[in-house]
Amino acid sequence: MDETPLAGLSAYLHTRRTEQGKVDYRVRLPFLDLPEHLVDAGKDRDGNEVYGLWTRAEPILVRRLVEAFLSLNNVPADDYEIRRVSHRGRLALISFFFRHGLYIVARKLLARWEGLTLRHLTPAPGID
Amino acid sequence: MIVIYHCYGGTHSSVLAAAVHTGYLAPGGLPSKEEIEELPHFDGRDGKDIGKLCHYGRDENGNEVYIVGRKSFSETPEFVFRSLQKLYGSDKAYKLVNSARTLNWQMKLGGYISRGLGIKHVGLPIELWGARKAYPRVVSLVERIKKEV
Repeated sequence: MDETPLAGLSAYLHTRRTEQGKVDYRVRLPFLDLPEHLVDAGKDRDGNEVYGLWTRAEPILVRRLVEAFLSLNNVPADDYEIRRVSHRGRLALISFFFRHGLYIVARKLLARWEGLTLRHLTPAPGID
Repeated sequence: MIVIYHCYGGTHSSVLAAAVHTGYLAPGGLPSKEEIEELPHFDGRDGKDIGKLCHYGRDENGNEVYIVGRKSFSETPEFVFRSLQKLYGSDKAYKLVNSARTLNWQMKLGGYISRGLGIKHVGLPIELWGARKAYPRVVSLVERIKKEV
């Protein structure tokens, strides 16, 4: 979960990074251009379903709304875990560009700094 | 059907709308300041309650009514619920209603002074004045929503 598409990227990397190796941010991740979205990233190696959710709102609001929805649908709290994407290192700058609508710049930085930024996003847990 | 009224703090316009919807306040006539002040959660929630869904009651058709505060992110509750519903395939139906559209300047000012600045003895009377003035608009909103659900 995040305010930026880094949530989708984190979810994607959580389930696929180790299998697919390098990621082409310009071609294979079209959702990175969306200001808000919920992406189904599939299952990880342990069989957990992984999703990325992002929208421009306070993270605590989004977290509580998700919890409220799941509670209304009788999903027990220990059946899911909501994690925020970390914005450590250069991800902070990439996040800044995403948040200000400069998607092309953010994507280019992601591609340029792939090794450095992904260290903070992968493995599975690049989310803190 | 689950009806969720949302506004900035989830404590003024959403409470008024939920109170009308669930029958705490009669849609005809104008409630007194005391009646409004005594409503559950009226002027009682603040920033730390953002996003906390609060059950308000049930209407005559069995629809559950909730309130929630979402600060200025008026589209977020709809986005989150619709996205999750699509994903989850939930058979429950939701109606998310932005009750902040019924606000007038007195309610905004009173709410800011009371909840934002914490000066309740100044903000609340202004808030109540505004709430009574806005009441017909709130009733009109609720009547429209009741027809839709």
